[in-house]
This record gives sequence, C-alpha cells and structure tokens, in this order.
Amino acid sequence: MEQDSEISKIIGLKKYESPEDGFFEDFLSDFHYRQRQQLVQLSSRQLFFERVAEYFKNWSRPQLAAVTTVILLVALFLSHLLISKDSLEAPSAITHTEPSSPISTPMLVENKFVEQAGDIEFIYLDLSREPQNQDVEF
Amino acid sequence: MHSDSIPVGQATTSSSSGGVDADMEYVNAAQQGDVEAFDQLVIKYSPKLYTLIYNMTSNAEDSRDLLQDVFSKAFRSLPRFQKKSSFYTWIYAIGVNVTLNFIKKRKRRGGYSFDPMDEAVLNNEVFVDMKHSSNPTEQIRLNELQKKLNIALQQLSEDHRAVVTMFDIQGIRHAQIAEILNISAGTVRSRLHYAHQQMRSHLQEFID
Repeated sequence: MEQDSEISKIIGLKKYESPEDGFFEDFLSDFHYRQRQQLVQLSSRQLFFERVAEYFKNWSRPQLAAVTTVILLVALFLSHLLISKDSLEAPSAITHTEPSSPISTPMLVENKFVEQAGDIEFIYLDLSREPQNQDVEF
Repeated sequence: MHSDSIPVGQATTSSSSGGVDADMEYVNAAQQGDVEAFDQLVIKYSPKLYTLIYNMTSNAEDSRDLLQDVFSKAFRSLPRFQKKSSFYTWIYAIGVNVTLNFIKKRKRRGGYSFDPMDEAVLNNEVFVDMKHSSNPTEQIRLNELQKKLNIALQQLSEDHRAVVTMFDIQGIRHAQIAEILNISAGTVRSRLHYAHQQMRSHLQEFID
C-alpha cells in the first residue's frame, strides 16, 4: 500500500500538464462554431435516424420484440382492410358515356376512314386497296 | 501559467451538495432550452474533462477534438438525462465512453503530443524529493519525467488508465469512479493496485 502511495504521488505530477493559456477561454466559442457547422452539415434525415437509434438503444429485447409484433399485426390488419375494400367495390361496368358530340360521318383521309366520336378517333384501314409495305407497321 | 494552487482539471467541489445543486439548476434550464445554461456547464467541466481525455490519450491534439465531441454528445443527449445520477457523473461517463471508443477505433497507437508542464511542478514536494534522491551527477529533466510518465501510462490498458487518471491525477474518490464506470468500488481498487504495479516497473528510476 505504501508502494502504491509512492507511485500514486509520482503519477499525480501529471496534473501539472495543461494546455496553453487561453485554451479554455476560447473553447466555448469554438464549441458554438462547431455546433453551427454541424447543424449546417447534418441533414434533418440523419438527425431523425440518429434520434430513433438513440431512442431504441435503451430498449430491451422483449420490448423490441413486442413492438415489432404489434407493428406487423397492424400492418397485416390494414392490408387486409384495403384488400377487402377493393373487393367490395363492384367492378365498374362498362360505362357508356354519351358522346359529347354526335358521331361524325366517316371521312376518307389519306386512304383511311377516320371517324370521330367525341374525343375518340377511330381509324379504319381501307381494305379495298392492295396492301402496301408502308401500311404495315411493326 | 496557472497561478491557482489547485492545477487545472483537479476535482474540486463538484461533488459537494452546493456544486450539485448548481449543476441541476443549469441542467433544468438547459433542458427547457436555455442554451446559456448549458454554456455554464461547458465552462465548468471543460478543464476536468480535458484532463481526463488528455491522460487517456496522451495526445493534446486528439484531446481537443474529443472534448468537442463529448460536449456535442452531451448537448444532444441532455433531453434524455433523467437525473438519476449527478450531472458530474453523467458527463464524466460520456467523456470516458467517447474516449474509449476513439482509442479502440484508432488502428494503431497514436503518437504523443504533450501539453506543457506548469512550472508549479518545480515546487511540488514529490518532484523536489525526486531531484534530491537521484544521483547527484544526473539532473532530472522535467521533459524526461513527463515523457516517461506518459509512456508508462500508455502501457496500461484503457480500463486501467481510466481509473489511474481519475484517482491519481484528478483525485476522484473510489466510490465516484465506480459510479462513473459502472463497476464496483472493489474493482476500482484492484485495477488501481494492478496499474500501480505495472507503472512502478516503468518508473523505477524515479523511485527510492
């Protein structure tokens, strides 16, 4: 114990080591500067993930397992609800919408009959003439 | 150079009831968003934490960066500080953890970068006794002592270095070290004893 005391006193001489004068006076302003820099650089998303990680860091495994189970059950329930809702809605019958304008008389345009029905343009190929290569489009 | 009788980084009255009450006032205010209250805690604890980090790393440049990291982490974590321990214990634990993580991540032992020794050491009775008991033809040079002390300290494991720094250099009591490190007081004492034995072998020339 006396030996411990002796070496302890020698080690204690290290307490006389200290940074240059003014270091601690300047430290606070340096700290503020660095905080501002970090805020600029750190994205809000990173902050969010860091905080989430910190929050869950202290949770025990049973707690994490219980919460995970609840989240999965809720997700399953919601997805089941959505699927049921979709199936309950009757598939829409083919609705015939009244054409906003009467069907126009078919017109021959560039060897094709073009008929306008509302917003839809029907193009009928002229089958009466011999097919030519330019009519075939792949 | 410091003119105070107690060198920078020494444990003073931070563990006294008055100091703890003052800390809690600042903590409560800081948790409510008072940034200047946190600044007061930075001013109060930066010398002590710097001493802790510096003696754990023996590198002044790394210590400056790590001290910033410690207070950054403390600032971000302050809303979750539940006051089950004193602020002193809490922030010291952060300081130890940040420093240990840094040391472990460092791939190889970092270079030394020493802070200057205060001239007040020349009047310290331990240093004076060493000069008198040494070979009269050999002058103990202060920088040689400093270098050998730091090398000897770095030979210890991080866990042993932490207790030596807090007890021998900063004068923190066993019970408080135990609380900071979350170990028993008995473990603190046994680590100290082992560390002293190890360092003794490196510092034999300075011992009678």
